[in-house]
Amino acid sequence: MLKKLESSLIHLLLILGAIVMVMPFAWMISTSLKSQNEVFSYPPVWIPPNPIWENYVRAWQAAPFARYFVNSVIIALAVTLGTLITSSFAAFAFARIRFPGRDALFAIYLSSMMIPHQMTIIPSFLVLKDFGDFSPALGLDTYFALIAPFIASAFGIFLLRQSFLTLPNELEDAAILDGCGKLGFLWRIVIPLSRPALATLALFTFMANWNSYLWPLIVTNSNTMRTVQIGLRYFVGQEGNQWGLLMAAAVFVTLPIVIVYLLVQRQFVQGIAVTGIKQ
Amino acid sequence: MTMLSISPRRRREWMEWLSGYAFLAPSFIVLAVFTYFPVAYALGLSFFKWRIMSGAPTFFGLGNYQLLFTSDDFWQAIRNTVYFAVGSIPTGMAIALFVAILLNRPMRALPIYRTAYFLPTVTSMVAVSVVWMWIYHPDVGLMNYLLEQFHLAPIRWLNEPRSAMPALIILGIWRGLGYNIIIYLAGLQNIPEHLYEAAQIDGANRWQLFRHVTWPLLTPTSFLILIMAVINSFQAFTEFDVMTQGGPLGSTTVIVYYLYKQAFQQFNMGYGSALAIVLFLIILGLTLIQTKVLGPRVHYQ
Amino acid sequence: MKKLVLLSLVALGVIAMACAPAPTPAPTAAPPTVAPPTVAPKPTEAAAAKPTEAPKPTEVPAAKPTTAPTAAPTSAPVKITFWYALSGATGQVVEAMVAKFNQTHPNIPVTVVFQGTYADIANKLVAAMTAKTLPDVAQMGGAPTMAESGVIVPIGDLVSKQDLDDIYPGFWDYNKFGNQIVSMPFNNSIPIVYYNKDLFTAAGLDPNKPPTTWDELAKMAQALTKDTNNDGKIEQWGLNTNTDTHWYLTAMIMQNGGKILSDDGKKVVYNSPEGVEALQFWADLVNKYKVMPANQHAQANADFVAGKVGMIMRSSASLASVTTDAKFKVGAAPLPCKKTCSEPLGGASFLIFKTTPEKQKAAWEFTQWMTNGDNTVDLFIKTGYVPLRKSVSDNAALKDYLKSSPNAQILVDSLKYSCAIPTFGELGNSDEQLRLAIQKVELASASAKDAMDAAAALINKNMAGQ
Repeated sequence: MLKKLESSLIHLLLILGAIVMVMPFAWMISTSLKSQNEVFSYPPVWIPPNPIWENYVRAWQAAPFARYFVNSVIIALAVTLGTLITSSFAAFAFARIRFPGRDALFAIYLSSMMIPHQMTIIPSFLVLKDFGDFSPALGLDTYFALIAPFIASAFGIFLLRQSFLTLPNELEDAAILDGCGKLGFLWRIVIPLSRPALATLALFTFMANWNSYLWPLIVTNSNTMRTVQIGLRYFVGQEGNQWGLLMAAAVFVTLPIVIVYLLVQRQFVQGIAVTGIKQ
Repeated sequence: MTMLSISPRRRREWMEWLSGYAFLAPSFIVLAVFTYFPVAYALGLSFFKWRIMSGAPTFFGLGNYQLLFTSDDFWQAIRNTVYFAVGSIPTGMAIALFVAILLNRPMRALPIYRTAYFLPTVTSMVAVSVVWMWIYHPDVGLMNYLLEQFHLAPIRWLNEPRSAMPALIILGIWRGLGYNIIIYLAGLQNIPEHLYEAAQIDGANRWQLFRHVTWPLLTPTSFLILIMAVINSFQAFTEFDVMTQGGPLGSTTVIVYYLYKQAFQQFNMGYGSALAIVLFLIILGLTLIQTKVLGPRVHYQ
Repeated sequence: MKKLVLLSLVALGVIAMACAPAPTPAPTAAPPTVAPPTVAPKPTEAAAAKPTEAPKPTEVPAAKPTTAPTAAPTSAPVKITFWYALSGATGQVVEAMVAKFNQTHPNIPVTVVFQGTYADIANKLVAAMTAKTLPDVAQMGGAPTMAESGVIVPIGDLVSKQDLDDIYPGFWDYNKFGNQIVSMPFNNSIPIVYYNKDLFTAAGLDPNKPPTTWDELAKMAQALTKDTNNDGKIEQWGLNTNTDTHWYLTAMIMQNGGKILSDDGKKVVYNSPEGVEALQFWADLVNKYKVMPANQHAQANADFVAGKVGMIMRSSASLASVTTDAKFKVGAAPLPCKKTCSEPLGGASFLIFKTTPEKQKAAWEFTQWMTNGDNTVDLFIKTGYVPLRKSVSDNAALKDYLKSSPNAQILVDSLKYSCAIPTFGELGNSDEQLRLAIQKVELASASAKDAMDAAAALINKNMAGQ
């Protein structure tokens, strides 16, 4: 009986919390179906009486979204894959390999997150222009420019290091006995056991990259290279936003992240404990 | 001759060192080109006076730093940032942990709840700002409506210096919750079930389970979250730009917003770079302190 | 030891900067002998082509008449890039205009690139300046601030007497830095009062008679401020303004006979008695007449279209969007006057960058076309950005539009009061200090005199130091 009461209380708390969490997202969807003069009223109208589905069509046509989507997907996937790889290697080194200067290097890696990204934009831009002078495929307005700066992530390394450190040392001993090298240990044992952390990193990296706006704007000029976030800007104006179109575009731009999230959160199965060791 | 005189053990040790550096190499190269080089660039630029629209940079020595440390606006920005950090970090972490634990048990609506708590992190900032401006509206907003229901006086949230930062602290916690919940969930997954079982067999109740099993084994995750929270809150920018533009009366001007105004609205690149370097050193200092003080308390096994 | 560390850090930093392409702007002398081998005549042009033109002298020849439909024949297409930062309906108008230009001017193919908001394009231009990847022509806000950057061709050097006379003087002032015309006006707006005609009627006011003086403004706002549900709090406010409060205050200062900048352009003088009076009136609206909520400008636009505010001061450029956003009848009126009427301009302009003489010439031709009579009328009809030229009063499309939209007629009538303060180095900072002063008096944390004095003192200190 007490358990039931407690369970209901928990559900109540979670639901209240969830409502607060979801409100802006719900407003986003509801506004995407509104006409311009329905957008602002107090209290807000959550269910528009005459939903305007055409907003989605018009928003899609207002900018080259098809191409932008292709670009965003390619870039976000490439960055995610690259980050997973480089971070796994580096995190493994910090967690499981002994070498001189390890702690100092880790501090240096962490420090790379401490400079506000607005200040790194111009120097990085200059670097890519130099690369471009050397070879156009590596310069401005290329996939390289959009991918290369982001395939290392100190956050990712930190996250994976914490996860790798929690694995029992006995695992490593067993691996050595089995004749596994460092690489084998990493690939065959550490990585499969770190699925939640890797999934988290994949999700966050994909999201950060998908949402990035300033860098793609600065390094690209051609529509063939631009990304969905730039497309969203088409509806944000000095004189006033085109609310219905903006929110419709925001909805379809956000959809891929939600899909990635749903895929990833399946990795979080409750109570998983695959350590393979008998205590 | 030298190869023969190195013992196999020494050689193994060197191979281990080499493999360590080799594993670091790819990420280090990318970070060096796209982060450390910009830091060095900013450092160099900080010794120059450069208003981009007015011509070439001129050497200024430590002038920017002098201006910075004697500027009231700078110190106000520091105070505001610390206020924001202190207000949002402990509360945010506690709520995230609480919710993560609740969401780590089998429940039918689990995927729905998890998605709901995640949505704030992916909702377009435009939508977030419109809805929260409404929530905080002094006349017709949700917050004041609730306060009224409880017979409390309305607060002019974003429109008054005293309440603007608390309003943004709440917004900051709300937005960051999803991230921290997910990281905590991942950390909770790493705790072997059999430890819970063993403790339960020993007769531990729920609070003791938390205190002796969950919390200690979550310390690596908590450590990560804390360090990241400090780094991120000291670099907070978007909410302050979109919701209040640093006002009213500068009460919500945090350091990065101050930097942004100097470097990208006034185009004082030299001064902006000096600000970036100072911020960098502050965060670095705080991180080192946390590592020294809290590092030893983290249980990895 | 510490000195060594410090020195090596500085050295490292300086080396890093040296290794990056030198961030010095383009050489101040225009490129002297950039011959046009890069613009080789295309085969299709060869038949009627003249021999490749010799390098043009660095002075671009006088502008052609603005209504010329086709360009004078040149022998090879000159490609130029155009960056702009307008979106929504306005952005679409710009893209359509550029498409039409490309159709009618095959010898000047323009590549048009959308660059986000004014803040974004400013960032982009800064990056491009450091990396030397500037476009040929760009539309941006605050364009005159680039006067001393060394990378632009001042429009004052290119413009003809005809244009100088045809475009209202206020627009030229708006694009000056000091005494030199730097940029070309393109999308400009004036501050106006939008009002809710339904609320006017409900308050017993004549919906066709908006306030014309400061006193009327305060009185009408009082009639419009109501506690609609008798709970002791005001839900409906008489007046509010958009977040660019400095703009409306500047107008008020000038309407009261005050000045912003001293005649020699070396200091700001808005803490004069006239200026302080203007700020005091603003403060009274909040604290004495209680018709404007304190520091609630961020919510002002939403509140107005939701029917919660009787009158709002906002840019004329929003005319189209406010009209569609509101469920009620929207009235528009110029700002109320005091000793004089004053409509200081806002908006953005075209800049031409130093590249090659051919490209600069092509860019100027493009600029002239985009700001010609037909196009400025088209922009006005579709947005609320005001027409630039006096000569458009004969334009048929404009006449039809004015007949159908009384609000638009009001805007055009207000243009005779348009004026501008030439840009000066501290303008951005100064506007911000004015906004801060307004916040102070609204929140009753300083008197109008103290707030103005503080603002002026800070800006004058900066100006003296430069």
